[in-house]
Amino acid sequence: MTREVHPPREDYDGKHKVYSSVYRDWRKLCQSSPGPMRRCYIELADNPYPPGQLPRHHRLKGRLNQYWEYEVSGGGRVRYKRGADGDPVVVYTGSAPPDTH
Amino acid sequence: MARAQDKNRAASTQPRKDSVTWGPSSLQREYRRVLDLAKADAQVIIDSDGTSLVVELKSKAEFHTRLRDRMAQAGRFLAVYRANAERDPAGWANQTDFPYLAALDSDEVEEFSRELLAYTLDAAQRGTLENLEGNLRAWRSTAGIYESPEVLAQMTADLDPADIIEVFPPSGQDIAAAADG
Repeated sequence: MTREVHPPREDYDGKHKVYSSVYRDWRKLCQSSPGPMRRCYIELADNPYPPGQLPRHHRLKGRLNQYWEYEVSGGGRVRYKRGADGDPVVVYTGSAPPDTH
Repeated sequence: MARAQDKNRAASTQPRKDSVTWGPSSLQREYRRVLDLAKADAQVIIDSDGTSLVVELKSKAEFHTRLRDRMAQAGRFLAVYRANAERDPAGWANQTDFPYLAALDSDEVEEFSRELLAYTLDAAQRGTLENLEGNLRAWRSTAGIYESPEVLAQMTADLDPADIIEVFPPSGQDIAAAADG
């Protein structure tokens, strides 16, 4: 039986390190959506606080304006805030309510 | 005489640069040039019955359609908002294209209103809806979080430094496992 093999991926060396208080949820989303999560990681490592409001990557509003959100895929959301050293700290990784997909 | 005729022919086939309009004959003769120019700027063609037509990039036409829709949404919102400014947003938000505003308080809706106008005008000026769409998504997500107390509590809880660890992008094993389904 032949089986396709994949080369190991190197860790991405971005401008920022990415931290999380929800490690298990982060891993879960990495396992279910590895491609989109890799793009998410690169965005958080290189451009965590974009100056504009992008459709997939934006700063939340109102009482949550110290948080940013990255839309990983249709239902996946990664939300984070600025850590003490300026690195992003992910505080939520999971799905968005159905009506916001 | 011949030179004058050539000059007149040229005048009838070449669109004037300042007007940038084409007739049926010049369009037929110079369709290549019309198409090339249309990639940079909209080209106006006046048909023999006087109808004006425009040839432009599809992406520009789509942008104008989407901008018009967004401006109509903003107009509808402002009309409802002005009629209900003193009331709780939960009582009237569903009359607008942004029913999720029901989860926001009055100050936040006022901020939303200011930003909706500013971002819409900015989109018209810059020729892209990216920031407008992004800002609307940000408001929508914020409202969605307000309506999920567990998510709100999780996001805003005080963090214990001991619980914060560095995370990494998906591993090769993750990629392989996802590919295996």
